[in-house]
Formats: sequence, C-alpha cells, structure tokens
Amino acid sequence: MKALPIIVIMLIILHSSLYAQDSIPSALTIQSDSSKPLLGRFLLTGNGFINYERRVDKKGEAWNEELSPILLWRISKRFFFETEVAIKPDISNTEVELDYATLHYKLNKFFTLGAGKFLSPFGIFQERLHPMWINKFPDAPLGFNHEGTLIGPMSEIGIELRGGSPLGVSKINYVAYISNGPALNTNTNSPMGGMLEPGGYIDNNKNKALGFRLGFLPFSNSSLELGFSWQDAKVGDEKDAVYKRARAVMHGFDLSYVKSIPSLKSIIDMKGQYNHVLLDKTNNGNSSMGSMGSAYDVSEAYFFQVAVRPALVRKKIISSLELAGRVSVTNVSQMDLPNENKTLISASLNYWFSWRTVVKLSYQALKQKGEKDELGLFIQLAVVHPRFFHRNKKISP
Amino acid sequence: MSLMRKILATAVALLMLAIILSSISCATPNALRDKIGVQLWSENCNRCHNAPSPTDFSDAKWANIGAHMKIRANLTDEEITKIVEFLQASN
Repeated sequence: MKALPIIVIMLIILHSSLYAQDSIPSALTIQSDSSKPLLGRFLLTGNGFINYERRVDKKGEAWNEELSPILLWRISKRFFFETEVAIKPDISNTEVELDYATLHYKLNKFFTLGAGKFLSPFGIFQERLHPMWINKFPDAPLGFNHEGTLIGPMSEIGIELRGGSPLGVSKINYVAYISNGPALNTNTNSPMGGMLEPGGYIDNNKNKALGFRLGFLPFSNSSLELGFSWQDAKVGDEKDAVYKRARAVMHGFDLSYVKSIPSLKSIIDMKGQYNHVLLDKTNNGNSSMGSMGSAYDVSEAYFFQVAVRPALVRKKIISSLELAGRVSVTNVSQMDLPNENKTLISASLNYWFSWRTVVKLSYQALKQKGEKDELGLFIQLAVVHPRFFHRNKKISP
Repeated sequence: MSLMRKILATAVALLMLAIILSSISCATPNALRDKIGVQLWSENCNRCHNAPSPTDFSDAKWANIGAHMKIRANLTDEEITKIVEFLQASN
C-alpha cells in the first residue's frame, strides 16, 4: 500500500515521456521568444486587503492588513517561475512570509513539473480560494489557517507534477507531490503541542511526504468539480527518541459547483472541503506514549459555503451585490486533552466595485460546547492586480 | 482492509485508469474541441473568481497570466491556449 504513490508518480512520468515531443501552444509563447524584450516576459502584480474586526461580546476591535506582491516570469518556452510574498505590516514587528516560489517546467501538454515552495494542492482551499479577493469571507474557515488550528497541509517544499486532460466529455486534473511534509510539535508546554505544523525548509526527518489530488469534472461546462486528496508523511523529529516514528495520514474531499441560473438572474457558487488527519504516535508497538497522551489522534475540519450573486440583473448596483453563507467545523484531538469541537457560522454581504475590488461586510458566530458564543463583525476591502500596475499597452508579437 | 484504505485504493485505481485512458485516446472529445475561447473563458475563470475583462491586460501580460492559471487551476493545454488567444484578440 505504501508503494502505491511511488507507482502512481512513476506512471505519470512514464506517461509524460510518451508525449515529450508535444508542441507548445502559440498563445502562451508569443512573448517567450528570446528576441522579444525581457520586460515582456515579467509580470509584477499583487493583491492586498485591509480588515477591520469588532468583537461584539468582548467589546474589542482590531485592524490588520496584508500586501502580497506577485512576480510571474516566463523564462522560456518551457520554464515558468512564480512567487508571492505576504507582507503583514505592524508597528512593532512587520512580518514577511514567502507564500510560494516555484519553478515550473512544462514537460508536455499533459504534465508540468514544479519545484520549490508551493501552496498545498491538498483540496482546493489553499491553492485556489485562500486569497482574500477570491475568498467570499474575510477569513479562512476553521482549521484551514495556520494562525489558528491547522488541520491538513497548507504549503509544501518539494517537487510536484500536475496537469489536466479531457476524458470523454469530462475532464480530470491531477497533482502528485513529494515534499518535506508537516512536523509534529512535541513541546507539551506549548498550546500547539501534539499538533502538526507546516514543514520547514530543512526536513525534521529523512522521510518525505507523498501526496496527490485527483479532480474530476463530470460535465462538459466544467460547472462541477469533485476532488480527492491523500497525503502520508512521517512527522516525528529524527532525534526524538519517543516520537521519531510518528506518522500522519491525511484524506480530503472537496467540491466546487458554479452555475448561472437565468431564471434567478444569478450565479450560484458552492464550495466545500473535508480534511481528515490520523496522527499515529506509536513507536514499535510501545503503548507508553510519554507525555503526549494517546497513541492515535484523529482530527477533522470541514467547511461548506454558498454564495449567490444576481450578476445577470441589468442594474449595476444590484448585480454587484453578493450574499454568502458558510459553516466551518473543527474537531480536534490533541494529546490527552478532551476533543475540542468548534463551529463557525459566517454570513457576508459583499459589494464588487469591479472584478478586482470587493468590500465585504461579514457577521460571524463562533460556537463551542459549554462556552458563550463569540460574535464578530468584519469589514474588509480586498484588491487584486491594482490598475496602476497594468496599463494596457498592446505589444505586437 | 479498513474503509480508508479501500477509499485510497479506489482513488489510486481511478487515477491510473484516467491516465491510461488519456494515453489511449489522444483525440480531444468534441465537447471540448468544439468550444471557442470566449466560452472556455466564461466557464473556467468564474469557477474561482470573477473573470477579468480582456482589455485589462496586454498580450504579454495575458500570456503570463495564462501560464500562471494553467498551473493554479490545472486547466488543460487546449483550454488555456484558446482562452489566452481569445483574450489577446479581444483586448
């Protein structure tokens, strides 16, 4: 069973070698010719947001903002480099974090090989939905952000192989990767003790994480996509006598459905993802797990959201409105602590000034058994591809 | 065999089957082959975000964005080629 991912990756590489002579499509290579100006192959852009949060019950309020420059660089016909850095300004300590920096090589029309740091292809949230100008809400669902409790991977450092292909009237897409994988926090004095954290640039053990996502779009209009993800990784530190064999197996299911409904003059957008993490802390059958409690921890996180936008209505003030609702749940098993169950219910009214600029007004209720609901009000402005970066000067090929 | 292992085995089998089928049948099915760029642009971009206007970017920038979106959304080669050609022709 453990050899299956390796077999899959080998099959993919074998498949790609059969098509190594495929031609590169013309539209993507117009400016890739080395005779063209170098600047034509760069695109410096970015996105950002400003967020205001007010806690209704605790009478507290907070501002935060983030700016994320993005560089896209078509180095040649087959090589492409992309990177994004998140800058979180703060008076005392401005954080700068590398979201991704990946060099891609197009093997053929079915497969592209990537290496570096990349957003986790596990599910759809991290890779496709997390930017605030895409996210319908001012924050990530519970369990999908490392600033809270993270259930499932967020980014990877390693190698990935990905692509998409028609399959009859349907389509499939696929990603397989080998990476450093997550790391188990064994500091029992830390609130994150017993939890998995995103892996660093230096692996904490000699084992590599293996994972894949398979997406299936059954309808020819691409309205529905169903995905399955899997990852297996040793997460214990090599030098840790007790937990060096600790292992995490993750499964994920995701769904996306976007459809225009003429009778309602609206577009309906549904998204969901379920992450399941099994942390196995056993050490050669040794049932004594030291200070980390039980031998197995099972955690899960999921969300489901629906957004409706009357985009087909002629009046711009109405067609620019969007109403969205989301439920997200975490069920966290951490060491020998009682399971922690949280539910976050969010409702958001968004106004799109243009395709690239949105203001969100959101109301949230965080529910936890035995505790009073935490209510919050958010106002967020999110922007992508600021217009001053992009004057449309047509460059002839 | 546990339920999770059965699910995993099924998914891997499906992946293999998909790869094999796409290897055997290189001919693009009619549904995708017959679609034009504007149709693919409206169907695919809106799956995650609002579709930008073709006039927002120059040819070179659309080529860059196309290379980025092919990876991010796992679009097929034919889809992204037609979409970028449409955007470059319409800006």
